[in-house]
This record gives sequence, structure tokens and C-alpha cells, in this order.
Amino acid sequence: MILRIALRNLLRNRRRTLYTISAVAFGLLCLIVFQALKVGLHEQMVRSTVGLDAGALQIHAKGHEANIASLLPLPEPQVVEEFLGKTSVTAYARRIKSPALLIANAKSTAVLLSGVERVREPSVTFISENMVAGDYLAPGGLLIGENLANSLGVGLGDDVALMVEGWTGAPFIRKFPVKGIYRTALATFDLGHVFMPLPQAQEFLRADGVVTELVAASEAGGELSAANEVREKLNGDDRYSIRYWGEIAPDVKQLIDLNDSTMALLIIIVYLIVAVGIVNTMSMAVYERFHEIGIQLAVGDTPRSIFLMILTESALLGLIASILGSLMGWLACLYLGKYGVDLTSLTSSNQYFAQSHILKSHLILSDLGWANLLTVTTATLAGIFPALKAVRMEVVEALNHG
Amino acid sequence: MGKGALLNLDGAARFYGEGENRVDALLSTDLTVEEGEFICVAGPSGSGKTTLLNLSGLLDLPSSGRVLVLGRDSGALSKGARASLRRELVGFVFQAHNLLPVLTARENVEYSMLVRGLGAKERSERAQSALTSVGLLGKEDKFPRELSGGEQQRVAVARAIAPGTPLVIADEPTANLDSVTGKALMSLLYELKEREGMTFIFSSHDPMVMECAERVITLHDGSIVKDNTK
Repeated sequence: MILRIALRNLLRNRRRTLYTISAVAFGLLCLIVFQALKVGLHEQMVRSTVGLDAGALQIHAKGHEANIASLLPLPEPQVVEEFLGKTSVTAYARRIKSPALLIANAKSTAVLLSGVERVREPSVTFISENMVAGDYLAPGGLLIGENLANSLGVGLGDDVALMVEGWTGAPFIRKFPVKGIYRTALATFDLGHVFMPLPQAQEFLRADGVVTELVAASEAGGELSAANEVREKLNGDDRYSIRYWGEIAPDVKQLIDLNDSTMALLIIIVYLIVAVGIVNTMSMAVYERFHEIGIQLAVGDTPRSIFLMILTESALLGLIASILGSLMGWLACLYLGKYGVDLTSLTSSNQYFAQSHILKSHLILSDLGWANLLTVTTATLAGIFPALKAVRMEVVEALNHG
Repeated sequence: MGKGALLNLDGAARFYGEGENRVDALLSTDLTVEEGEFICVAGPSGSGKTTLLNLSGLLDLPSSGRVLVLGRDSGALSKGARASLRRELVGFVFQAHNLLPVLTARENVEYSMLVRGLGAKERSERAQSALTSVGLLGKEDKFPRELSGGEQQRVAVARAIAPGTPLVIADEPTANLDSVTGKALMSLLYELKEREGMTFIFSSHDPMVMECAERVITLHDGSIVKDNTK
């Protein structure tokens, strides 16, 4: 009976109920879409960071500083690889990195030279998927970014000179033909990174057999736990330094944390607005029904039952709005998840969009569940104030109302 | 003739406000109502009729004195206990806007029994019987807005009598009804009193209603000025 009365009471002033439900549903729709876009953005940021160069985690020799290229050799890389095979790491590859100077057509630019494994590296990073000309890591040649090639005025088959400080500390310079050109969505990366096969780089740097970095991939979202697993496996061996992407690119991690905090604030604001809206609606509805509530009390109903009836009305408002908002939010996310939002004009030099400039939403079911739970809970709690007001009235006072 | 004291007002008075703003709605009043009485509380507007009914029906508490219902002092009861006693003993018919507009006639009647914890089958049977006895057979599923004023009052009567409480209090039950409908309603209440042995206290300043009553208590400026038993 309480449910029946509550539902029919909501239908008494259909316009007011519709406005309230629409406002709450719209708030929920916005939250769902913002949250899904935020998740999509964060996934893109992590994918870009991990897939461009950092990988899920990197292992270096102790003393190696993050993001500083040095020829500090990784001790016994084959032993580390054996350990990696026993963790949740899905792929790994060896690297050697060195700062270099690239010279062509009387122009020069500082670059980071990476010697990488032709077969294993594509399992960790996505440069191989972004070839625009030539081959990925063709033997004897150099793989450079399209922007770099354009700015130096070179193309496939043209020679460029590369100068490095070798393993022994002596400088070395050699000409390499450009055998491959890649293009990521991040222009600044393409300008500053050149690649060649690992053995070729080791030979050029006079560092035969030297590996300075092991980079590994893991399941999305499992990077930190994979890094912790590796740390556990290498427990006690202080010759190694293990960092997951959040430590290699703390700016990305911090930005994600900041976004999460901002979103939390937005959620609080939206739910406050939802609560105020429902308190207002229910207060009006209760105020108009003081006389009826007096009748109910006089007839013998208990204050507890009246309290529950008003709370049920609030909860029903929240529930209907929740279903409506979720449905609209889900449809919006379905569209945004498929087609996304093209942010090319805003993100061409943004490192977080190195894979694509299309921001797509990703609606996580648990987020949807939480949003619904919060909406219904907020709506129900918002009914407490008007409900208390109703049940605290004396019967005679209520009967005399209206 | 009375069968036993149902209600006693022992110097019960009710005032509102304080100091210069104090309004004495009912002055110190002594009154005994016995089971099975059919009483009309008469008097002009503002004479204290509704206040007397509110005190008698445990809707309100006296500012001084005592109201004893079946020997229990209403002032000594907690709010919950008073509500519980009211639920057990009293049915109400108010002057107007008596019904819950979102419930049908049958649901309004059943509601008064639902809050008393009666089962669905018993509620349904009693509601049907009460609505039939007030002549609303066939209109059970109408909402109040679909009923005339007289029909709404009859639903309210059905709601008051259906739970079988020993006392029914009706505040100006015929005030919004035409004379024919009003007379029919009073006949119905009297018939119920005769048949069920219920006690009725109703307020009115309508001579027709006073004519129907077995006992007429007349109030003026918050005091009982006349108490006639026919």
C-alpha cells in the first residue's frame, strides 16, 4: 500500500515530477558520459605512454636514472628474462639507448637512438604499426619519424650521418641510409626518436652484447602489479632498478590522479544539486499534503509509516530518474565509444594522444552501477528532511493545514 | 441508556498561545460519555466543538485537567501509546477533504484497517460490507474525485466504522452536504449505532442533526452551557 500511495502521489503533479526526474536524469547522464570519457582519456593516456616507448615497465641496472639515456649495462639480461617469463608480463624486449646527433643536408638535430629487437619490440610498443614508408628496422638502415625526415629534407634511401659517444667514451660517426619512416600522432616524438636493429646499434656504439634496458608489456591495468611481481622475483638482487610506467612518466600518473579528484568533486556537486532538487520537490509535495498526512495519522497510521511513504516517493523519483539517465548515458556512451570525439586540432602535440587524436568513451559497468546506486541513495536521503518535517507535526496541526 | 463510561473529561481545558495572545478554546470541562451514546456537540463557530472532539478522540492533549479514555489518562501516555490507543478505539469522520485522493473508495476504507494490521482477506470483506452498508455498492473502485460530496462523506463513514472501533467521532459530518444527503447520513450513523452498539460523538450546529441526536451538549465560548439527554 505504501508503494501504491507513493507512486500515485508522484503522479498527482505529473509536470513537477517530470521536471524533477528530467533534471536528475540529465545530471546522471552528464556524470555517466563524463566518467566514461574520463576513463577513455586515461586509457588513451596510458596506452600512449606505454605503447610509444615506456612499456608497462622497464628494468635497468641499478643507478640508472629514469628517462636519462646512458650506456649503463643491464647485468645478466637473460636471467632477468627467465624471471619475466614467470610473471604476468605478456611480452618483453631488449634495448640499448644512446643520445645522438643526426646530420643531413647541412642540418643537424639531437635525437635519442634506440637499438631495439625487430621481432620482440612490436609486442611492447606500437611504432611498427605506424610505418608510412619503407620497412620497420631493416638491417643496416635507420628508422626515423616523418616529421624529422621532412625537416631534414631526406627520404627513403637517402643517407644521414649519426654521431654518438660510444661505449668507450670515444665519439663515432657513421652514415646510415633511411630505410624506414614512421609517423605517430605525436609530432614531437617523431622529431626526436630514431631506431635501428639492436645488434647494429651495439656494434655502432662499440658495445657488443650490451643491453641497457629491458622493456615489458602487461595486460592493460595490470602494469603496477606486474612490476611488483618482477620486484618480488628479483627480491634481494640490488643490481636492478624496476619502474612501471607511472614511475617512468609520473606526469601522466599525476594528471590521471588529478582528473580523478576533479571528477570526484564534480560528482559531489552534481549529487548536491540532485539532493537539493529532490528536497525541494518533496518539500513542496509534503507541504501540499499536510492535511492528508493529518488524516492518515488520525486514521491510525504511524509516523514511521508516513516517514517510509515519503522516503519511498523520493526513492522512486531517484529510481525512475536513474533508469532514464542510465539509458540515455549508455546510448551516449555507445555512440561516443564507437565514433569518439575528434580532438586533432587540440592535441596534435599532446603526448597523451600519441596513438590517436580521437577521444573515445569507455563505460565501465561498475561505474554505471555506482552512479545508479548513488542517485537512488541520494534521492532517498533527500527525502529524509521533508519526511521528518511531516512526522514531527502534531495531528491537529496537520489536520488544520489547508 | 449507557452501558459504561467510555470517556471522561475531568476539568479538561485547552488554550493556545501565551500571555496576551492566549486563546482559551475550551475552558475547564467535566463530561462523561458512556458506551453506545449518540451525542451531538452543538454550538456556534468558535465555541470549542472541534477542540472538545480533538481531546475526546486523543488527537490533542488538554492544557490542564485530564481526558480519560476507558480509564486511561491521555496525558500520561507517550505520543506513540496515544496513537496506538487512538487506533484501537476511535474512528474519525472529518468535515471535508476526508479521504486520501490517491486511493479508491475501497482502498480508503481498507487503509484504515491496514494500519491496524488486519489481513488482506478480512480487510477486503469488511471494506465491502462497510461500503455496502453506506449505500456505495458499485462505487468501490471510484476515486474521491469521481464521487459527489455526499458519497465522499459516506466513504469516510465506512472508513470510520469498518475497523470496528467502539467510538466514532465526526466533526460536522453534514456541513458540506445538502439537507437530504445530510439527513440520510445521520440516519445511517444512527442505524449503525443501533446495529453495532457503537458510540458516536459528532459536532454540528445544524438543527436537523441535533434533532437526530439522543444527547445534545451545547457549548458557548468554550464552556458547556447545556447537556440534554432525550
